[in-house]
Amino acid sequence: MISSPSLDNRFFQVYVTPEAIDLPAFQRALRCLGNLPITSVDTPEGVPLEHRNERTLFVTSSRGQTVGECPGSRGHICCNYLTVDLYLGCTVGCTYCIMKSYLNYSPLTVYADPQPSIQRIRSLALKNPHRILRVGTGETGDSLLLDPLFDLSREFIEGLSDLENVRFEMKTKTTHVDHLLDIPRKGHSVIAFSLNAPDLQEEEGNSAPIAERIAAASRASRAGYGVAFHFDPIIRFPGWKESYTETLNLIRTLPVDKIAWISLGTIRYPPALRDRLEDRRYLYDEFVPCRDGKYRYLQKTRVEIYRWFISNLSQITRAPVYLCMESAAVWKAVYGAPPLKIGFLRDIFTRIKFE
Amino acid sequence: MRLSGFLEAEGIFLEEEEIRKYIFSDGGWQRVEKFRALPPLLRSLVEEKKLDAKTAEKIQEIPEEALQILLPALESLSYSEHRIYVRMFLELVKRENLNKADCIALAERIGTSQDPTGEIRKMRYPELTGLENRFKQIVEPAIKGTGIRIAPPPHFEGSRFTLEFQFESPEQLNRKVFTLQQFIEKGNDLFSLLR
Repeated sequence: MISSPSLDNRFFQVYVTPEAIDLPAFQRALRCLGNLPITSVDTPEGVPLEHRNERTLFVTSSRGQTVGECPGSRGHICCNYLTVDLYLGCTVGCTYCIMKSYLNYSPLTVYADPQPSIQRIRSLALKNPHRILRVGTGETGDSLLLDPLFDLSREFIEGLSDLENVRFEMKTKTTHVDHLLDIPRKGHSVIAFSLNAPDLQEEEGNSAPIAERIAAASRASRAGYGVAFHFDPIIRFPGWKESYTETLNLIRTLPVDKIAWISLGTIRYPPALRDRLEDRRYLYDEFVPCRDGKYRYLQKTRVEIYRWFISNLSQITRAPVYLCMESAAVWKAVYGAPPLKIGFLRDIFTRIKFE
Repeated sequence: MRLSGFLEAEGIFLEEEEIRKYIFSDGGWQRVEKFRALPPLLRSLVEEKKLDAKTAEKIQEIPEEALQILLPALESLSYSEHRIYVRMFLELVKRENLNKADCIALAERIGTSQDPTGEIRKMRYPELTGLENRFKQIVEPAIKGTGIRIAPPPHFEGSRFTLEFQFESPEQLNRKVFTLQQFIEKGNDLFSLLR
């Protein structure tokens, strides 16, 4: 296990529930965290108020529902992604982070027993032998930010490697891939990178620079992983096309046949979050309320943005490119049809038997 | 200022902890302090119930000279409309990164406009108001005076336009259908407003 320099001195205290103390992941992390005060508590509420912040790690075993369906968005088309809460919370500090609206517990939480989730995914894979299951750990936190400490992704990668119909995805804004490169059985695991325009780097807090994320993607793909990219949130600003072109040109340097998928999503936020988002100039663009209550750019603007991306990406890769949380009207305007009627997107959007 | 200082000035001689317990939560006292820190113009607007305290706090960045021009122009608005439009003005100031002189110039432009709220909205949402105007240009010449109503989806979000009309005889129905057929046959870029 490699300790990432970017994690040094990030945390001041650790709280752990009793049943998690002997878990292999926690014991691994102790090698780097052992100099910190470590306190046993029975529940998250046992963490004192003054320590409920992002300088605290809270480690526990698995939570009740081990694998969930991505909640999607009312009135918008969902890609039927499955989610596993592994690392809850994030310290990257993106100014547009929408997690502020639904994560109410500030310590970073680590669910350090992956086995129930792995078994559940295996069960779902066997119940849906003719479907592709995409499942990821990046819904409520960065999949790899803390992974050099806990090495939990390794257990998923190895535990799911024999399943031909499972695509385990780790989504990150870091370059923390090197501890995963030597895993011999990778199956169809995918390491995904959130990307944006280089001119928006200051909106992405402590994230790795775009060029370094692409370099990490290169290392991952050479090691045998599929890679994926998520342009989300896409933000419009003066010169956005030129800036995003810089990122697309970096993608060109990769072995493009290793790109598993690319998703696109323009910036969106629930109204309750508007006052909690940092006061950034991009928030003074034109946003309108949509069917799910979230605010997005005008539909015509979003269609223009997506068309630009798809046109430019099609010159780089044949990987499927899909829209995240978009309306049927936008799908029709951009692709001419909803995703289930588009051959190369059918696998991504076909529902599985979840129960 | 400490709570005890405030209470003394007001002639209330209870212990601070008692006051906090019975009247203010800590968060409530912070709101009182923020209110007291407002400049006189904004403070009086809140006191006169012309503006809510939260909006008053937010718009402190607007130079007072600009507010003095802007606010009378918005005098006739309801309480909630007032809030909406002053916030829009603030967002314009922030979006364009206006200095004090430009801010005052903007307030003057709005203040002297025949339609101050329309002017603010057009500047704050130029693309949306552009779509609305283009929609009117396409539809009104064809259906004005016919009793036919065509509406875009709300905020031009969606794929469906709404058509409404009433008729009370076959002849009337025929006329309205003929009007619509002409509207279609002439061709227009109505649907381009959505994609």
